[in-house]
Amino acid sequence: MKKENLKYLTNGIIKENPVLRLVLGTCPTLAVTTAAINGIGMGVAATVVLVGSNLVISLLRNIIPDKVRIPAYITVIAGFVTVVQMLVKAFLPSIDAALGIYLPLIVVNCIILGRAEMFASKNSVLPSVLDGIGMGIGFTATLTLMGAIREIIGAGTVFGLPITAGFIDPMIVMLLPPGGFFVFGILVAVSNKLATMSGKKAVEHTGCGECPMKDACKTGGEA
Amino acid sequence: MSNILNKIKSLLNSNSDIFRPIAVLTAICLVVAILLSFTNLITKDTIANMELKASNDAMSVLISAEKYEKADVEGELYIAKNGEEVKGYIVKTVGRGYGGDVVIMTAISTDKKVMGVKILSAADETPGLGQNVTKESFYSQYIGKTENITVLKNGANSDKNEINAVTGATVSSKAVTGAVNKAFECLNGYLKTTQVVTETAGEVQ
Repeated sequence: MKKENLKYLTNGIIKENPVLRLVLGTCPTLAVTTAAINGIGMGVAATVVLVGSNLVISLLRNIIPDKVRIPAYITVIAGFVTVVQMLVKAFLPSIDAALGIYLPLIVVNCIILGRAEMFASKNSVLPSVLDGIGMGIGFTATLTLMGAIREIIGAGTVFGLPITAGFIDPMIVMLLPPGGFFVFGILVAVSNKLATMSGKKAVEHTGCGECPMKDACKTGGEA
Repeated sequence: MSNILNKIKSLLNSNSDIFRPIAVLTAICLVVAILLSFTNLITKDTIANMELKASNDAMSVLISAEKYEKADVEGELYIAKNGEEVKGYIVKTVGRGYGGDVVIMTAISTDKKVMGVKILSAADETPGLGQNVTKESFYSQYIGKTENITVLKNGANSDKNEINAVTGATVSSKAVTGAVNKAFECLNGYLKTTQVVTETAGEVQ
């Protein structure tokens, strides 16, 4: 593999981790990470869709006119998710039992739309697919880590196996929505600290400016 | 008329900036719609079969019977039958929980006693509190009970028609109990209609 391609693949895992560095996909991150296994489920389902949509959008990137690119991307992504959902339901029931509830959530996952806009619409097929895989791995790893932290403090287990369950009373709040914010905030803080220590910039919150759609929207990220 | 057509034509030719986005977006939507309907065509039978099988599997845990007939009544009531012999009734009902709907299945014997309760979904209840209604130690309390079950915080008399709420989750416990009571209402409604039918049938003869 060329060095350049390897870079596309590893970019999403640490340097541009979608959750902690790009701060994308926050909603599913907070919602599903009540257990480590949910993190893996959501991550894998999102990765499959991300690779597929990046592939299709980079193929169509010269055909789709600029003015209608957002509705075009959304149609492609929603169509792709629904087709995958129906096929999985019909022919892979065991995967459906594990991932089925996450698939509809992916249509509104802004990592998919964000990568379509930021990467796949400007790059050729192979880099787009590699970017999808890398971002997917980064998303899955972060969600699994968050799920594991919330599960061990909130329920005393990891992947359902009891760790501290016998002798420490679990703190249920970690499984509730506030726990999601606690862990997410701490993880972003830690990743910022690690980034500044290695000489990189911390994530800066610039309101609308962070949004991958900022060029398409009226304020142009100036709000 | 031809004047208008010519105008449209010249508009399309001169201003591809208007025409092209419309054409491309329409084409994309068309292709996606065709793909979706094609996928639906090849998967819908398999999916329907599997849903039926899953629902039958859930019911066979409660009452094992040869077949489950859906009754013609408001609500979801199934009659479990071995041949013509009625083994019991299974009713699917919904209770209003703390975070959303709690969906359950109640099996009721022919002498109107609860044979078993299966919690199909309590995903919106609080983990660690309300979701404890999915534990056997809670829902096995319903076995043998009959209509109008009441919920107590603790100290329920197992000889009376009472059950103990899950600690710290009275709302979720009441949701399940309400759904069980609703199952009895549904069954009563069904039994009333069949009675009327047999009576009128008798009069005709």
